[in-house]
Amino acid sequence: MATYYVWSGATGTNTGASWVNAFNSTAGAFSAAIAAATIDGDVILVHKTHTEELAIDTTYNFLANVSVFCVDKDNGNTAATMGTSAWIGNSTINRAVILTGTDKKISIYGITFRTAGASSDLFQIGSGSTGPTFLIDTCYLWQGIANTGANLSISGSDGIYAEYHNCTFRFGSTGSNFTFLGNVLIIGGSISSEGVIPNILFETTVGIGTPNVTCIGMDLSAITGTLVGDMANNVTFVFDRCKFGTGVTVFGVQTSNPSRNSAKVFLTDCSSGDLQGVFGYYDALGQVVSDTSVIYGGTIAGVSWRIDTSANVSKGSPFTTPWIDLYHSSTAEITPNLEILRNNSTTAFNNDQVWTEALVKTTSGTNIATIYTNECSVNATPAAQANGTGLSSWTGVGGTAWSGKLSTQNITPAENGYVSMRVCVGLASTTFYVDPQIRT
Amino acid sequence: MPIVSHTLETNVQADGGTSNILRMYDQDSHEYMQSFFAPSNFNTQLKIDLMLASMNEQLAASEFEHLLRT
Repeated sequence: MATYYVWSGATGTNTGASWVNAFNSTAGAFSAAIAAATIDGDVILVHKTHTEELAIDTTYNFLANVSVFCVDKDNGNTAATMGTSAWIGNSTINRAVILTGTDKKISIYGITFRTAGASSDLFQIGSGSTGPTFLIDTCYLWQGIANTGANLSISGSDGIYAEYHNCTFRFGSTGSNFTFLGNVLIIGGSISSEGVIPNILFETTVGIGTPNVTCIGMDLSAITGTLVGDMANNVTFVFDRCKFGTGVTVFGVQTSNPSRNSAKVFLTDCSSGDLQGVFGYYDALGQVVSDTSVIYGGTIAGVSWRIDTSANVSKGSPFTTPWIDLYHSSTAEITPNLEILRNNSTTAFNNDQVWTEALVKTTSGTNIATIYTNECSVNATPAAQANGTGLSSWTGVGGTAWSGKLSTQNITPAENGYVSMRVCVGLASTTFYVDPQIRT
Repeated sequence: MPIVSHTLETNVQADGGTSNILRMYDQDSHEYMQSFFAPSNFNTQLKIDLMLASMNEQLAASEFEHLLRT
């Protein structure tokens, strides 16, 4: 293993063997270091003031499992960041910046990668079907091209896993987006409020597979338009304990793939202010968001689930909520049920409009769960769902309403474990509330 | 198909903010649903105007792509 040095201020022999003799080309020092680092475990140290302006589109093709660190050479090579004072890329004209390396494990700390200009060009982390895995820590990824086609590809191939810690992402056009083909995990970091703020942060990519995109602890407050736009494929997004922009739309209208196999978004504990514990789930058929305006009395958290379905829903293609779990440690007979409220209508939902599904371990000696439902069976006449405990059990009810209950048949669990229930909606363009607490 | 009408349903939350459901309708009465949370002093009308404009752009692009495919 060897260490290679990169510093545009060096005046030595340009071998990369020391700070004095660091790779010093202002148009290719980083490329030279990557070409030299051919042994797994090699390290590339980049001084924090190193700046190179690429003369050509550049693909950095890592040849081994390499770690790149931005350091302060004048302070004992302590970890540092380039920030907006230094960069690898170009600050005035479009030059593609692509990081890749077949099957390589690449970690990069503190580096600023930058593109600029007015013509669209690539800024891409990873390429190729047998792509690398990236751990990109405290870097500044600056897609500064003022062109709507200039995106920031945070996972450029479906074979890539890219993980970002505490990175800053900056854009140059309102039409720019994050694009992705492989799995992405972003922990911490932010969308820079400098530069230009995209109207839509995550946008679909041609040829996209079904990756997962997870953002945890990320400051997304600069985005006030839409977080997830129209998606052609079944991408799963998770936003967990993030700061959102004021008035942001979490999930755009899905016209490319308005089906049960659409993209979906899970949202936990994210808001633009100080509202804690918000839950949300979104797909092309509808959404569930936590609501404090209409709640079931006695609910532990003082929160209901508000369900809104889109026009894409039908009985054969229902909107289904995430599962609600209750740990159950008895083999006595139970009747799992959920209280619901239909606001502004006294008419009960029929069981071909709204129903429930329950998963219970009813086979002794195994872990297998069996599904039970109160859905209207094939060719049966739809029947009204049962009445609930009554409107007096709910607060925030406006005008007329119906209190209902979704329950399966009596069930006898055979093993300790979770009883799971979800709500299924076959009625388009409707709104109602669920107390997300299983009662037995 | 441009959006020709819309409805907005707003629920005031415990923190004073609002949970909003916007249902937009095109000339063929197809509905498109979107939602957003907003703080209490938020300019909801401006947000809706932007959402309507964005939806019109999306629908126009979708129609254009459809024409190219057929």
